[in-house]
Amino acid sequence: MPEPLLSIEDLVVDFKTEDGIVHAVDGVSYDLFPGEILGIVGESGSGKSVSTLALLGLIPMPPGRIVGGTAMFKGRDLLRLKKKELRKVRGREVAMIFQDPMTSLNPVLTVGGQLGEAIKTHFPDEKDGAVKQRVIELLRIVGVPNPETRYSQYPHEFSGGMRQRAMIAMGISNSPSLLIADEPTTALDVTIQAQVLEVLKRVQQETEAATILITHDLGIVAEMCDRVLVMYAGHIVESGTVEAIFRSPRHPYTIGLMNSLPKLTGDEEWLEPITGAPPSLINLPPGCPFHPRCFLARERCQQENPPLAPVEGSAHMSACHFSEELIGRKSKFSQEAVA
Amino acid sequence: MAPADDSLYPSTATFEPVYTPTGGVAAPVDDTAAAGLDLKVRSQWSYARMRFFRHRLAVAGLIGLIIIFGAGIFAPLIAPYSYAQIDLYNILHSPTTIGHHYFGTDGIGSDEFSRVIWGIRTSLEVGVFVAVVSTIVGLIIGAVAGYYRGWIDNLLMRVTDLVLTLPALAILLAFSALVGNGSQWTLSIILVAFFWTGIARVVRGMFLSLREKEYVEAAKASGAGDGRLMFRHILPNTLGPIVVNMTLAVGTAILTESALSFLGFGIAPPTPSLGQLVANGQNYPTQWWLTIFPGLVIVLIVLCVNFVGDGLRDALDPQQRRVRA
Repeated sequence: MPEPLLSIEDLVVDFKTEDGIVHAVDGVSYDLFPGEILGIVGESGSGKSVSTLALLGLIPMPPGRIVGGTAMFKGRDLLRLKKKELRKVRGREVAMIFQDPMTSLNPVLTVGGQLGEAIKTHFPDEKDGAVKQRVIELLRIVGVPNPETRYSQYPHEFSGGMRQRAMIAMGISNSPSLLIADEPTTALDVTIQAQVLEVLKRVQQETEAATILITHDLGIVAEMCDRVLVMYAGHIVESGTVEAIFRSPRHPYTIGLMNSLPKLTGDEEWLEPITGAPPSLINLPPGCPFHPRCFLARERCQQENPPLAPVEGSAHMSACHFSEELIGRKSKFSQEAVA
Repeated sequence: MAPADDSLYPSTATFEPVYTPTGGVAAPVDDTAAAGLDLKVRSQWSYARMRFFRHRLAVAGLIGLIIIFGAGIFAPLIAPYSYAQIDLYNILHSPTTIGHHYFGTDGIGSDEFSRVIWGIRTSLEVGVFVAVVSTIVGLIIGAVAGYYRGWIDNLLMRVTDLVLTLPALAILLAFSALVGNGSQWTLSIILVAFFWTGIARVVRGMFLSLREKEYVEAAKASGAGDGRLMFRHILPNTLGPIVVNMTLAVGTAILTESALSFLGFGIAPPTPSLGQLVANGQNYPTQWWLTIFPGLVIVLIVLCVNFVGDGLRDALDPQQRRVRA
């Protein structure tokens, strides 16, 4: 086993609200290895974004609060870095690509200027000419046509896909070793999504940056990722390689997620949603947080929260008391994923 | 450059990219040049300029200001006489072209036209100084309050409120009487002490909303510190309203200066100021030119400044993409 680049242990993040304390992330642990793409999937509010934002100290505090845990990155605990040290990590060692490219670029600065700014933040002594050359090179790498002209244009002159390419260029501008893409294609047209994902994948292969890809789209996970974490209500409920999880999902929630997707080849009248709604993160149901919506649920699930335990080797883990019962149960996508 | 011995940056501390784009570059998808479309780079400012110049009143105001302030700036070249020159043979002469006394002469025979032009110069200096300095002060206070929020915001805004609640004219009069020595710079600084509040509030409000924008978070995520975020990323977004406010502040400052000078608490003779000229004209009720001309100039300046301010407001409003009819 190689040394993990990032090792998160028991991360807990709370938000204080009028109605009580929201446990957005509740004891999340995972490792990220150099060069791999890790997908984090889950519904809205499952804690997938918060768990990564916490790494860079980007959670608004207050109301947010990192209650506990460690995040070892290259021998340092990111959660305990001083503000100034963390700033050196941001954008240099760990870069982030945000969801909405329409609002993530500053409307009054040129695209080139903003990319240059991202470089100059970490290399203030670099000559303007060299920075400009580098930015144009970056724009070319992410497939922005006419980068010399585009350099001096403003974000409103860029289309959505081009803006997200520019954001990816900004993300890789300082050759980070960890790239966090928070739903990078959610705000884009389906046709543009594929192009942007392709750019992201190629950039990832070239920079060899370990990548965390946050999404709620299982299709993207199957396409892009090496490993995947499934999150529900602030917990990791299943983790494993993409092949293992698509071939034999071992958590009812993962199966529910897969079954709620349309299948291109099938003749489906209705999609099959997961019944019920995600639980309130202020008052999680006792026991397994998923039990009110689970087709396997029985009495034990209401009392005991199942730990994340290995189900198939050490790589595939599931947090379900009855994960054995799911052996052999095919998800809608099992055959496709294997084939 | 990151220090080479810093353990966090062992291998990639050089500026060079660690990857080489040999794998090829993604195929450009919207090659506009190839499609025969010519993209013209237009900045926000060029749009704003376009909109401003289609605003007729604003352009008229701008031309008016250029003429009036131009006269003030080039006063030594334009004014036929020095403002302090006395000609006791020509006291209280009505406007005439003889001897270039276009606005007549005053009670000690000084050329009123020259005094008005030098008065514009004084008023312009006061107006611009007050507008620029109070904008800078207000901007910094507003930016810090809006960006950091919390107790800093509370403290700064309560101070702002305090200044705002003071009855301005009464305090200005008291201040001028106490520390004023008739110098225009003392007066300017007294005015700045009152003028920064408006800008501070505007800037604070904008910073409060802009600091939550995603591009600010994106900049933060790329490692920008507080100063960089405030002045490189947020500030440019507030420039529109700030420029408008600053323009209008020039007019207000000139008006206030005139009012104070009119009441005798502003700029002391022999340095002429427009308000002081009007006050002087009051002593000669039948010599209308001594009141009308400086008064008219004050009105024109403030009117033009406001037209320009309105034009700028419309031109710099980013919501307004369309050009007004």
